[in-house]
Amino acid sequence: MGSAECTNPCRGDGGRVKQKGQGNRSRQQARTENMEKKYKLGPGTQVRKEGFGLLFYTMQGPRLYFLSSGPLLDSKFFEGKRTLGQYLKDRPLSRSQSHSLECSLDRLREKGVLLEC
Amino acid sequence: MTVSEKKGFSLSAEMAGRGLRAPVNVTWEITLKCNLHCVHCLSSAGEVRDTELSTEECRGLIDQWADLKVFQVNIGGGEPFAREDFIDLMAHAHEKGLVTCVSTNGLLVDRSLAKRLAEFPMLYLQVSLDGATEEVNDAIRGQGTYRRILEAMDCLSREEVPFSINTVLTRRNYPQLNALRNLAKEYGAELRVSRFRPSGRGKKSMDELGPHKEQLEAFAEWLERHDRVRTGDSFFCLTSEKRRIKGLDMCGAAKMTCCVSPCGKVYPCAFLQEETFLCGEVRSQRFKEIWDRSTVLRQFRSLEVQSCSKCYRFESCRGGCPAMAFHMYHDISMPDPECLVNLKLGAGHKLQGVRPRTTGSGWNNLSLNKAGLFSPVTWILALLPFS
Repeated sequence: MGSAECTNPCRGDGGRVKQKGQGNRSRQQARTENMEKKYKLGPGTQVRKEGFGLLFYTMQGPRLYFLSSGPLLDSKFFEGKRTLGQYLKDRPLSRSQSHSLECSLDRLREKGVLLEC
Repeated sequence: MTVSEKKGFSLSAEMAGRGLRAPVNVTWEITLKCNLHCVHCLSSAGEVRDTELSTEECRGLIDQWADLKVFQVNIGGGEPFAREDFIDLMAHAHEKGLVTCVSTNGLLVDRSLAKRLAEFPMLYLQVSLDGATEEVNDAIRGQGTYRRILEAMDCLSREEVPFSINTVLTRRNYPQLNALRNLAKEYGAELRVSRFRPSGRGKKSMDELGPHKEQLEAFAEWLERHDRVRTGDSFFCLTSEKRRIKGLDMCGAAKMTCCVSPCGKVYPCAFLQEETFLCGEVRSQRFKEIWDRSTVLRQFRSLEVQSCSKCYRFESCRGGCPAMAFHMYHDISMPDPECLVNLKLGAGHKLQGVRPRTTGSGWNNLSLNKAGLFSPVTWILALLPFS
């Protein structure tokens, strides 16, 4: 798996020093790498479905994380069996929705709520 | 769409305000049996009640919560360890995936119990201590308790059981906050300060023990300087913007939590165990049915303290603690008398002389808030610590 620093789509440069003409390619590459990622819940973390999306609880704190993903993500995704790309195959998302989702998952990973597997 | 913590807070309040499918946590007063008679006890605990839930009923309730994916059960009383089946019930909750937070007075904690507690990784333990000296603590919790609580903390510390000291802020222990913080550090524990509310025996001791206005204002500043001190959801109406990010910014009653009494009665919170606020009984209804259909809980979810709506801190506290408003004014739609703004205006100070009321419905001047629309396809991550 690529490191998060190199594949964070929330960063305009995809975590790299951008060379002229290379920005789009880096972003595309970052997106491709993100779609290959599988996630599972971090230690002491639980998740459940809510009307607005997903509610995460982690014992560290304890803390809550609200992810307003609507019906698009299911807690089963975090069993780590399918890549993000596989999971979203039958769920057409706009480019911006997909980008937001990748950012949110990455943020949760940074917080230790999710682990890449 | 960016991830915004600040924005996330108001959104999280909005999301939670509409009511979750199940509570995030449930406060469970598992027994009223207690070996102490603290003068500020919110439940007026002492003798066990004949109608308390049986072991099987307790197990069934835990199973219901697990099915609903309730994350955490905060267990108090009474003294939970005074129930002979308590350890088994706690173990059952953990087996079902529920985290427990147990509040104890520490008197039954010895090396043997501490050893057993060390085996429960899904347990948070809170030991009540209401002063950094024998004189201050024992005046509230009873003669000789200070020494015994310290012995319990010593056992827990030796067995490496993580715990926090839980102190209810009073006018007597306010000057000892730094000493309490040091004491916690000495035992490898955290300090958690809770708010004094005039419910249970606290109604009678409020005039004598309730913190002064000046103390509450100074406490808000003290909290800002000591960001590792926990407050649970007690002081969200007092905390500064700087500290906000670390805690809950609204009353979670009916939205994220509720309370179950030893006899299985459900209330919006532990400080509102009054007939007026009875939401249902788990002996005759499924817990989910009560959570979804109780008129009381629905009204709480829509509660808006109208007179606070133009306040510059409204987004930070949404009117404060309805239980405080109820016990002081007998009206949950009144502003929290001890919020930072009311303290500065002097409203809270005037209340020092007001005795908690004991009659009335509590639903006077209730106004309902219509929740706005929220787009389900905006991806925003909201962070909401709640301990």
